[in-house]
Amino acid sequence: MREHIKNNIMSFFIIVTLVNIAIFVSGMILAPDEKLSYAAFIVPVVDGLLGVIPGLVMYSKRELTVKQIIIRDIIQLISIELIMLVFSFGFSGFDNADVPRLIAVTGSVALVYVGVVAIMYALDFRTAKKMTDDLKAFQKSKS
Amino acid sequence: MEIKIKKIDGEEHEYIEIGCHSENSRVKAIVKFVKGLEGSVTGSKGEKIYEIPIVDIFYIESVDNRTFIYSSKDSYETSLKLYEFEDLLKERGFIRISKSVVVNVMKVDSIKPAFNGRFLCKLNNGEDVIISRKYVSEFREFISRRSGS
Repeated sequence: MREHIKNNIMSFFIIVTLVNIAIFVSGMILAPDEKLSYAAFIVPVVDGLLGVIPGLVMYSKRELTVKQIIIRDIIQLISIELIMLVFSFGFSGFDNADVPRLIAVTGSVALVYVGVVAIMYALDFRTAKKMTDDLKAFQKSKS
Repeated sequence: MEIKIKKIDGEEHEYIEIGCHSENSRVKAIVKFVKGLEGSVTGSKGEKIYEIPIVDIFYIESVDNRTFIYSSKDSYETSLKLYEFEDLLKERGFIRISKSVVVNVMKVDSIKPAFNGRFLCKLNNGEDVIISRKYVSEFREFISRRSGS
């Protein structure tokens, strides 16, 4: 459980950073002259909190198989997309004029999700390398 | 057979080298005896009972309440439980890496990331065993503490 919470906290900060980048990039493309208020600074934090909810809810004590993990990750991505769409558009739905924004939101969420997975993998890769180095030192000291 | 004993520097690793024309049954008996000095455990394969040198064990796995010992190529069933092996071999470089596996750290070649915060131990015989999320920090602590880093 402790590892799971640690991973979700890490995911939160990665999401906040990537959402900031996504807002910057999509804003520059879709509305470069738009002026944002101070309230805009809280959006990445709220997105980060909303983004980790599915991960926290879908915690399993069991060791999942690779297939189960892939299915869980797909469900998680769909859940995050729905949460973000509700957060962005409310429950009232959207019309044709909202389509570019809708595409921008869903695309950004998917990109941020992939970004989080890639960064987490890179961090795990670094950890694995450090473990392998420690392992070699351990084996050398024992042989 | 001539026996030579050479004193080496304290910095060097101790070793036993056998010079022979072929790896015959006599040589194999000597190797078995030397490995036996490091300790062994009993396992069965079919009807036969074997003494498996601890240094030859790659990992021990519990499957459906049965415990199996895996060496480079063979597997043996044993009456001991996994937690008993964990206690028995913790000072010999063995550590629990998941609910069902205790691995011999000396037989791990490298570690790679796997899905979902887990890691994959690639063993010297080409097999892979998973370090589950719950045991990752314990494993890291075990090797970093003993490697002195």
